Amino acid sequence: MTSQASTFAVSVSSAPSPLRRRRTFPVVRAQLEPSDKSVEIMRKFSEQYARKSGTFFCSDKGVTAVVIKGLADHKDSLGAPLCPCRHYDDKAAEAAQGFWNCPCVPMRERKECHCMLFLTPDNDFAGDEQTITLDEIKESTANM
Amino acid sequence: MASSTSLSLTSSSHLHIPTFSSSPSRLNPLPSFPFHSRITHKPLHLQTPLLLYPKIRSLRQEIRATPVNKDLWEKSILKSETPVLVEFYANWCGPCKMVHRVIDEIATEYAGRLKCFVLNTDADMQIAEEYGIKAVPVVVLFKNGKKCDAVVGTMPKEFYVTAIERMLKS
Repeated sequence: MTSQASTFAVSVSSAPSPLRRRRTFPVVRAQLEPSDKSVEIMRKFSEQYARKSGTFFCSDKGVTAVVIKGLADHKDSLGAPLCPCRHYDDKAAEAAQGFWNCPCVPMRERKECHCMLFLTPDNDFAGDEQTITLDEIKESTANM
Repeated sequence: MASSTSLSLTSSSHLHIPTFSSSPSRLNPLPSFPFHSRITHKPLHLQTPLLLYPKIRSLRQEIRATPVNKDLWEKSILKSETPVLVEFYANWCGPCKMVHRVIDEIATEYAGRLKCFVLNTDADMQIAEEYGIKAVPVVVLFKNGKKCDAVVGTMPKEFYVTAIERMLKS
């Protein structure tokens, strides 16, 4: 994990390379919308993991919704729910490595989610819910 | 709060300030996120009364953070005579949307004294890598073309304001 972090620090890659390495899928993905199936999978995962870890969604569910869609988007494009709140030189390599696949190592070890999907109750941004409906997700991310 | 949500000032390399051009947050007429932080327990709406009074707010010209990219970087950021703020964001970063809202407010409130930009790290990987962007959002302050401060993560508005004031006075 430490080595992983340092990998990020020294990663050198030109702009286009990560895109080139990105796995390509036969279907042209809409640039902005992850598949309903993946959104549902990540929605359920998020609810379950919040309960399991004793964490709560952000009081602004819009944040939760965007992150869930981001995870779904990565699941579609990379095959793994890579954290959408980080910048990667090579997303495919990161997804394969796994450190930042949700739930990421910092979350599993220390309940740290800088994406604000899973917030401990003492966090000022934490709400009191561990559920989010598909409608809530759609509503709060409409027009993105 | 010691969690990764809390962000600290970093001194990592230079960053830019990205702003969201299509921030969904703008769809929400009111700031729905609670911005009370440990630093101050004053809720956001008390800090920014303008938001509560749309009529008053409309009297002032609303300025939003402008998208910036690699091609505009030198001219807009490095050669700007006015201090610059750049928020780096990613497409599906939920907390970035919260920070966009704050940066848009700051863009209006500091009009003429500070130029606010947003940079999409998904679209502009070169700049993101040049400035060592890892976790987003990251808000970076530039003065005379030099990065002078960076705030990583999602912070309450006054945290950004404090950093800006510090830069403007320096």
